[in-house]
Amino acid sequence: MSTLDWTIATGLLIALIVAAVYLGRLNKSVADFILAGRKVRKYLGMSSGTAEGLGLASIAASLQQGMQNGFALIWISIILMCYTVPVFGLIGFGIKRFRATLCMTIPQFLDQRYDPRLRLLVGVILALSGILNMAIFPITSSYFLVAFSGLPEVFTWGAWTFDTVHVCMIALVVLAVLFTFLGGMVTVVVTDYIQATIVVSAMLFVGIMTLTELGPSLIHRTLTDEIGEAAFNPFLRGSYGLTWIVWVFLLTTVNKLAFAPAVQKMASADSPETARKMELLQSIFGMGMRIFLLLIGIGALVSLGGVPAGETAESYFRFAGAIHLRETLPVVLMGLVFAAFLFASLSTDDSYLLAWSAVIVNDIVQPLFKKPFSPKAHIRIMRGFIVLIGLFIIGFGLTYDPQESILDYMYMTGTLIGGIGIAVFMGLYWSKATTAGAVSGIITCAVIPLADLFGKQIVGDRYPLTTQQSGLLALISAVVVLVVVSWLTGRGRVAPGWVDYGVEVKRLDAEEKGAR
Amino acid sequence: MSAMAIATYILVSVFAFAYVIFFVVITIGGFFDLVKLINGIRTEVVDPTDDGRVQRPGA
Repeated sequence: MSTLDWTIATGLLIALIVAAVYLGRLNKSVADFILAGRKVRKYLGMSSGTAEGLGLASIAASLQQGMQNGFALIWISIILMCYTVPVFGLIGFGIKRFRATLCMTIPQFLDQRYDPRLRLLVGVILALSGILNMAIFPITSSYFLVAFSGLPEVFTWGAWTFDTVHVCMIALVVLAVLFTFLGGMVTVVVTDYIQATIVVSAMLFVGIMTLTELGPSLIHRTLTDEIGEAAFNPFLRGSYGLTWIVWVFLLTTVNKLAFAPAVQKMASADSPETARKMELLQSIFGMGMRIFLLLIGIGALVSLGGVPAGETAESYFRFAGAIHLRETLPVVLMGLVFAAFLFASLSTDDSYLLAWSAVIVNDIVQPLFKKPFSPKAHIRIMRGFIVLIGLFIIGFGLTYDPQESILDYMYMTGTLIGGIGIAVFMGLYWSKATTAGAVSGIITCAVIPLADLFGKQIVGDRYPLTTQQSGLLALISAVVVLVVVSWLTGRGRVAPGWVDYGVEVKRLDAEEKGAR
Repeated sequence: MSAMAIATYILVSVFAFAYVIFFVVITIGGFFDLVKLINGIRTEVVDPTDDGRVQRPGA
């Protein structure tokens, strides 16, 4: 990267830090710090949600998908959209009711609906799985940024020699901690909006540039020669079957109300109706972004070609997108795209830091004390945990071995929370769901994927289920176990903590229509 | 060119075009929402009990 590129990237970063410092002064309460005072409207919430979901790891994965499978992923996204748009975007299934509870976190709702002890259990599971899940992001983003910028693997400063990837990773974590520490959700939501605007503009520009420079006919010829018909048809390679589709539908549903950073964004909406609209816009917007990222990945395939002899597909495709961009982007655009990649990493990390520190303080630490913290002490303790999580992630990144399978790691840490989403949905829609049922469902959903992961390590291919079958079995079993145990323990009676939030949603919707 | 390839290109073109329009609308709308958020937080009345605690009936 040239000096001008570094200047552009640094200038944008400084502007963002100045904005974060200013916004940090607006916080007056815990609700401001965790949920931006529940005043986030649809476009801002949607931009912020996009930035949170569009991490550098997702960008790298989409570029890789484009190189390996062409446009095939588009059809999978369309199939998913046919489900998510009507269910969540138009009806607001689960989303509107959860927003109407006014809960800040998932464990708070489980405490309110089921039992205070469930809050602690779920808080611990969510925080552990979430922090381990996010710990991998800064180090993988750092590898990508170093490959993109063309920085040397090591550099010396005086008598010391430093690993560039590690230094870059520490800088990413420190910046994410800084944004979250300064102003909580107000800063996160506003800086995410700015970051999303820069990231999306840069990717749009690069996507259009790829299309105009290479031309549609060369792109089509390369896709046909390198990948064949599978570049357009995801079902040709046989990796996506009915089991996979049903599993992904169920997983998408339960994770809507299990993944704390996304739930926190939803809870910060100014009404249940806004939360629904944010979800609708985000589903459609995410699809458009994916098209441009796949196009850039395909551009990399056209200019770099397939896997060279002596290299594995995994190692080649992981950074080929970054190398292609480094070699083709002109000065100025290079600086802008570097800033976009940096912001993509930061916007995901700061949202996650805030969500997991909120879960730790609100659902694990605060319930241990009889008296509620004062607002100032509450925010101070949250800031302390934000720093501690940051330190843990740095420690993790410094010792992380990139040889292990990232997908397996994400799978193990991510699927642990599926049962929590089921307990939340059942708690919102079924008056007879009991605490015993919820606990049984959560445990069932965690045990089956863990058995799959460890079982495959022990017996290898002799394990009787595929990953998809285990995932689907876990979710279906969790629902069945929750229903059966609730019937047995509650004997068909309405559970004590039941509140019909459907009524509250109707009242708030009517109020909003009246205000218009 | 196969039917699937043609369908894919049509889909990609439609979504890509719609996305550019959508992006402009959301960026402008997001800016106005941002101003409203800052003004709303400046003038809000703070509720000190809204901190994640669960208040049960009769407690």
